[in-house]
Amino acid sequence: MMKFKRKFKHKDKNNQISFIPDAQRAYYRTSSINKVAKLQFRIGFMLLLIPLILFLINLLYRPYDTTSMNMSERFTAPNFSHWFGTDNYGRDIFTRVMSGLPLTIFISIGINLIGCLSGLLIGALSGYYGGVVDYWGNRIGDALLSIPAILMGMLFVATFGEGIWQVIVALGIMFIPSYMRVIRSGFLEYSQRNFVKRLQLIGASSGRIIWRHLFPQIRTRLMSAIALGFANAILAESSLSFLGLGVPMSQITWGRMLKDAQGFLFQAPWSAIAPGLMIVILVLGSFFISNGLKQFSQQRNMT
Amino acid sequence: MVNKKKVMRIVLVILSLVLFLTACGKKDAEKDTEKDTDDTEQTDQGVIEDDPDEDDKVIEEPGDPQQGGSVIVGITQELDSLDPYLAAAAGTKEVIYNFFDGLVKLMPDGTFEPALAESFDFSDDATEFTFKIRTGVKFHNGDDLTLDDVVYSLERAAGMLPDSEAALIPQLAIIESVSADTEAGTVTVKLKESDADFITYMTLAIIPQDYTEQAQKPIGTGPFIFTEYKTQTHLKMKRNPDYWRDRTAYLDEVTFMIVPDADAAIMDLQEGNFDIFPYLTIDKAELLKDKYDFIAADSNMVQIWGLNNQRAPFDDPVVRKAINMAIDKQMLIDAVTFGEGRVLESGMAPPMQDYYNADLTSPYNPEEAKSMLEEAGYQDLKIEITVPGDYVIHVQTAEVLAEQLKQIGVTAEVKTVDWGTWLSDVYMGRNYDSTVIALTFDYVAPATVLRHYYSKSDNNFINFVSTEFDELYEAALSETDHAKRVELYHQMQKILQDDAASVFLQNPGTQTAVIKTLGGYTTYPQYVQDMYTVYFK
Amino acid sequence: MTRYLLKKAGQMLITLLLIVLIVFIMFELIPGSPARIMLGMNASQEQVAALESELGIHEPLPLKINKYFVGLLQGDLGHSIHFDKSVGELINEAAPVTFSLAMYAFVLIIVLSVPLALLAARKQGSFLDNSIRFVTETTLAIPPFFMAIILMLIFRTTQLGLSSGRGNLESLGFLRKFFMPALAIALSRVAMALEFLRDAIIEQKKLFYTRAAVGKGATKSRILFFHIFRNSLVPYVTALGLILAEVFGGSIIIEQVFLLPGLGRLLVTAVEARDFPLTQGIIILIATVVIIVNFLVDFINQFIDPRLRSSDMKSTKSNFWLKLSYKLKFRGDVE
Repeated sequence: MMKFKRKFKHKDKNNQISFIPDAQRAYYRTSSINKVAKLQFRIGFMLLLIPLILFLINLLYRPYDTTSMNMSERFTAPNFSHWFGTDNYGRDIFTRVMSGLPLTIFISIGINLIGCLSGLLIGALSGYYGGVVDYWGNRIGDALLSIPAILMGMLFVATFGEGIWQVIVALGIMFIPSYMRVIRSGFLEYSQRNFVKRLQLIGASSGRIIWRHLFPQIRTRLMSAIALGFANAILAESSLSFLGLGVPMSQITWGRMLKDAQGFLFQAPWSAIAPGLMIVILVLGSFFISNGLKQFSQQRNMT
Repeated sequence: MVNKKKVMRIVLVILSLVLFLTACGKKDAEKDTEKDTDDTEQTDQGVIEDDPDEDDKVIEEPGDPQQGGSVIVGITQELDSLDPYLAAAAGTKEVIYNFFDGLVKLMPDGTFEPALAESFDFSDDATEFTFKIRTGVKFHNGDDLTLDDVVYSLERAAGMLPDSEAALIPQLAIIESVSADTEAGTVTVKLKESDADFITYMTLAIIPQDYTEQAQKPIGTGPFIFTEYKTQTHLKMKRNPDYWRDRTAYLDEVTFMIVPDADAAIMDLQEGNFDIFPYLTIDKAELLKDKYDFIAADSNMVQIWGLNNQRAPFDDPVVRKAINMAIDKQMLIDAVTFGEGRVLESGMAPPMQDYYNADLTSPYNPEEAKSMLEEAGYQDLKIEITVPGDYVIHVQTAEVLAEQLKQIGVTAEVKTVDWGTWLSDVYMGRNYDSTVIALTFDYVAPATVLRHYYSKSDNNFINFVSTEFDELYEAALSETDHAKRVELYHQMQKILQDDAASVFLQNPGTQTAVIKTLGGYTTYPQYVQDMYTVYFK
Repeated sequence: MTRYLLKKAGQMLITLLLIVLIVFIMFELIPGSPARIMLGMNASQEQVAALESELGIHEPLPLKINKYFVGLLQGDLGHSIHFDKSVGELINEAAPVTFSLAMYAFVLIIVLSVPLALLAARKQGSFLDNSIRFVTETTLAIPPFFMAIILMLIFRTTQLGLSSGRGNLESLGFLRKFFMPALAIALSRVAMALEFLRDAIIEQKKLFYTRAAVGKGATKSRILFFHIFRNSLVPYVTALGLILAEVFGGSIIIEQVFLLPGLGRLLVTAVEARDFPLTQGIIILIATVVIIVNFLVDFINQFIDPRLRSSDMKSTKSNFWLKLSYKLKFRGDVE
């Protein structure tokens, strides 16, 4: 019975008056946007290829041990045997950067899994039904977004101790409101379209409408959000690690490497640059892919 | 294409604005440094002319103390309460030290000299202490120091005032009564039990009676007067012109700038923005040696790898001994403090002078450690090292320890917690395997140093139990003969080593950067930044 | 309109209330006693117990919440445990630093994004457009702390003398001291502001009146400035508003790296010291600013821009929000 409670506040989007002649519209869509989107995809994949190659090398071969210390080689500048130089314990930075990759990706995927699934559930419910669920979902989301996330991370880690799972859960929760908003606005938009009304009239169940008809509409948009979320999760995790919170010491993370390097910034700048660059490459790659997806979704939107 | 030009022009205007902003910054930087040098010159000369009555001899030779000038000291900790009895952070105490005097003063060599007390005396069983109070001393607010002020100070610190629940300074809880004799000008302190270390606690700041704003505007009798404190930013003090000693401080003004991270302050140091900066590691000296002299500061810090003696596998002395043997302390010092640290064998550090037992040595022998563990039936031992993550030195130490333990087949997982959690879970809750921490002491009293191993103490967080140690500890408290006390403390340290109570790592040394134009910076076996002795050369 | 305002005000209050409650619950769960942290390792158990009872730490939660709200209604944020000072006073000291840092960064964002957006929008898809967007997109991917490290290395090697040190909050000293931190915050946001302005300009360009103006014989730059740029300002200003709220939050980690005595550093100290009143006070302030800015943006959309008032444009608005949530809310998560 819920479906009758929905309000049809907004006018149908298809009634919108456009100033752009159809021909021109088509031109923008196909040539320019498509070209840019494709270019962005290409750059994104090329950037992500670098960590992918490093990941494969890491699986097969590590030039040095990641933890064993060698004081005679501390602060070696980058050279042929140590590509990215060594850190304050004489450990090879290239090896360490490489072996920090799987964990970073694992955490990022975990965060987005929690954020996306919960966001999907809450966003779909509040976007489709509106009413009480929508209201309180939005208020809690607002509240979470108004608290600086770093602080939430600090509080969470201080409360539940450090650990990979703690980081995933804490940041996962902080990611829910963002996903919720994206999905909610998508559902809000499409649930006012005529085809939904028609489906309701012929008596399709709400679950079926949500899953079979509305969800596919926002799939590209969601994928773009996931790619962006992936990048942001990496940034979030490395920020926490940079503050020395979250992931345990025994695990190598780029944020922690940067924090350690900060103490020797002017003696050994290379120990800060290598992990930092890795973060940038991974994040940038995801950004470009997200942008490409977004443009496809916009294009889809217009038709 | 006229339009194109116009657009470009506007863009150029905006870009030049940006450049202008940057340029402004640069020019200003140059101006500032010029101004700074001018300032110091002016004040130097100005003071010599203004205050001929301060110092009869005006010294003009370079290298000798000059009257006047202002310095900026960088400190690495946020200040807490400015009340000398409520301040808990070592970082606060070392700053507010300059506002106060105690009845006695700790000297750089670890001895005590009378200060606000002209002389002192104590009974043979160390239960009754009598101080003759100096006359003609003024507080910063202009009031004279009276016997009542001394009695009030002691009573407040010992928690004897009607509204207090516990001693503010726990060591003073043993005070039974404080009484003043106006005729003789003395104050007598009676203790509940004998404590030969009591005199060391009498460096306690003496404060004016019933002044309630100590926490915000501290008032004492010290060489500097509090002027301003801005949270997280700076604390300023000026010279006390009526100081009771034969000379006032040399410096007119001292600013303590708060920069909680020495590493991040390195850029400022390279530009010479600080005059004094304590607690730097020696590796920074190389970067800064053009502008600064480096003075090695003694610390009474005892860095230990505390093993929870009540928890498996550390309840077995064999494991503790084997682990002690497996740690290469010198390598640890090289890695963490860049060689600036002294290897420790027991719970006391060399700055404790003759109380420190220098005869102890321990072998480094990972092979034997490994076979010891094997014989005792320990295989693939897994332990956890919990460290407070706020302290980089302990985190790095734990990292090195974990690496060294791999050699004897022990896997150590390093877990960092924040300081608040460490205090409640590890220190108070004693719910941990092992931890790396530095024990520091507010008073140069051997008993407070070894209190952490006395089984009846709150502070025995490693759960060390040895009846022999406890007996010696109690005996030492009531022993007033110096040579006998020294002997007792040496024995206690031997027990700590023999029982392998924990792994005693190092006495980390720190470096204080002092800008080359300054002299007279003095270090003490206690955390203080004494500005009284500092002068411009 | 009054009804709308009342409704919004109600929503804002509820959001704030939820934030206060979240912090309360977190502090109930978090281990560590402020009394022990304050007194340090060498204090005795009795001392700690005495201070704890003085601070009222072991009171039941409802009583604590009640007390807090009574104080809050009287405008009293409580007394900081760690600094032994009133919370209001502490915030008064630290807030100007954070606000001026945020404003400085904000000005930098505008100064950088307007000319770049104009350049990029001249010809959509041109080499210039793509390269400007690529570079700004790259700065978006650099985490602020890494940006700070890069800036430090650059400025150190160029010896520009832009460090903090003796510089005070006075006019030019301020510009100098805050330049690096402000730039570290601004650079990563330039991309967002730029994209909004660029998209808006391109959108305007496509519209009918632009071509009418061309037909009328107006010069290109006249069209760009008097028609297109002006009309593009509404979405741009809206985006700037949201960026401002975000810059405000973003200064927290930057203050940590550059050791500026602002709210961010105060907040970190407060959490580490388990200083509940201070933490709560700062969070309320930050959250209020964020909520109010969000409201103003919404308000502008609803009432100031007449085009957005018509129901036809509602879906455009929802599109706009969607875009914002992509760009900002996701980013806003972290810093």
